[in-house]
Amino acid sequence: MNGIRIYRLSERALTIEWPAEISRSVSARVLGTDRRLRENPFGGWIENVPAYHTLTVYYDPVLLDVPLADHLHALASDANEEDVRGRSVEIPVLYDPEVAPDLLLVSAKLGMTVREIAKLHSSRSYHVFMLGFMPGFPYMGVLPDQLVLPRKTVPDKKVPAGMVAIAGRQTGIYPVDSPGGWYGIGRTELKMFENGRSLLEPGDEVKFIPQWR
Amino acid sequence: MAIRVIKPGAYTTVQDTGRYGYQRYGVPVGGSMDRFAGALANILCGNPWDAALLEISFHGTRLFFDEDHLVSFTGGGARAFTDEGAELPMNRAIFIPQFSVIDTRYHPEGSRLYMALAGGIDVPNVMNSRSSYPPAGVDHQLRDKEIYRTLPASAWAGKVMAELGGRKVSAAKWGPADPMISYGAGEVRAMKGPEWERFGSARLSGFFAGSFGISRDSDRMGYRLDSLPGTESPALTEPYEMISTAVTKGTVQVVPGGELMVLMSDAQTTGGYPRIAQVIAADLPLLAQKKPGDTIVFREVSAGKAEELYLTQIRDLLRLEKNCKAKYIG
Repeated sequence: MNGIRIYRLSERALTIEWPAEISRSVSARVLGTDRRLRENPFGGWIENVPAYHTLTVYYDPVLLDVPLADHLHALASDANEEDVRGRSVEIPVLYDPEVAPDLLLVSAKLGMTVREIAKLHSSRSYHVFMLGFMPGFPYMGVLPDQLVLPRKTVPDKKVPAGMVAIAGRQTGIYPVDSPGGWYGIGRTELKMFENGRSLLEPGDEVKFIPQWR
Repeated sequence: MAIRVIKPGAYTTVQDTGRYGYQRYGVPVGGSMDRFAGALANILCGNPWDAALLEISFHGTRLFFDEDHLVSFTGGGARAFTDEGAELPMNRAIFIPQFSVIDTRYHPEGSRLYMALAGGIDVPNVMNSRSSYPPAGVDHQLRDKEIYRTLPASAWAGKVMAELGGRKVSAAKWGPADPMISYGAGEVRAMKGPEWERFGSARLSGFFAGSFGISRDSDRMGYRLDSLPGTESPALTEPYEMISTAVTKGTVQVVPGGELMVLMSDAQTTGGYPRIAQVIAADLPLLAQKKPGDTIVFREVSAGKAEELYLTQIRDLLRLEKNCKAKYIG
């Protein structure tokens, strides 16, 4: 009725799936259900992993005390678009080809100057849909249409830590040096993951603040 | 009590049952690749199942014991020996006297040996776990001359040590009657994955009928599988751009080009490749003991059967733990 599907990921996880789209309204349902489950966990609950249009619920089948699929269905069905906005976080970014060599490539591909790219990328605040790929890597969106590029066909072997990057309608930040297929357009000195803490959480709103040398 | 590393071996790390509660921040669960062997080793030393132990991948680890210890070895890939060349039994509690040196040597079956110490290894608990995971700043790969201390052993372990103890290495007579898991088996059971239907019906038979080789390009994060001759690589019926979502240990992804990737302990928390199947939890220990060059076949089971097999495995371990405990009460 309400477009929810629940499927088994493993013996220890069920996934609730909403319509396959990257939007704030679907994310609000995911994060609203996430919050209510965490505030009122069932017996055997371990943790939730929110993503763009899914919420995966990990549990211990030995300790489980509810018919889980039914329980999740009921919880997810009455998830209206709740106010799930997290904190507002400002992230200083140096949009400079010297630290983000891809900028020149992106500039050529999009037919925009580096300054235009920087202004446009920092012109709106982005919703943190989820974290994944590696500790502290935020998947944020949605990008202005003019900045949409497909990801690289051949990923780079090493993208440096702090690289602010774009791919499709998403923008993200590499927490540590790692391989990656997104176009880097700027660098931040903030640590995305340090001492067991992630700078960002699902639901946070991020504003990039351009730094000029 | 402490052990000192004389030779670290090719790849030996500290692991426990994993890191829960941080997947929402992108931190993998990690923990022992062979969860079953890890639990068994801890049970035999009177530890909680989640105590930290050594995962010895590919032998070569040599340790010095500064004091009397109670240890156990489970899993495969190597066997433990005293410096006098005596082979130590698998799946038994073993008393190791002060000033002993223990070696691990290659064994053809399996690929990861687990060594538990009574009390468990005392490395800092970071984000609910003592498992090594360098990308999150937790690195417990054994290195030359390092010293690893243990937490206090249980009263039960104290009684076992008192009975076995003396001046020589000695193993308990009791322990599991059979190997509990046959690591030589090549059949790995799996259930259909969330995107199963997207891999055309003509090719469906390929996954459960074919055979696959574990590629050299395999590690704690995941195993790449090569389709062996006569096995068709799975292909999507039509192009499909997936939106990233959660993946977990045992998830079999099909990466562009048709290659299969089975996610293992250090699996990333989310992924964007279609998931053709999910290796059942009860068979992940078996898969964890495979090594590059080994061949496997997948056999389909239902989700209900998978859960039943998993719960049976847990109950077997609980029964064993109860029997062990019962031997040294009062």
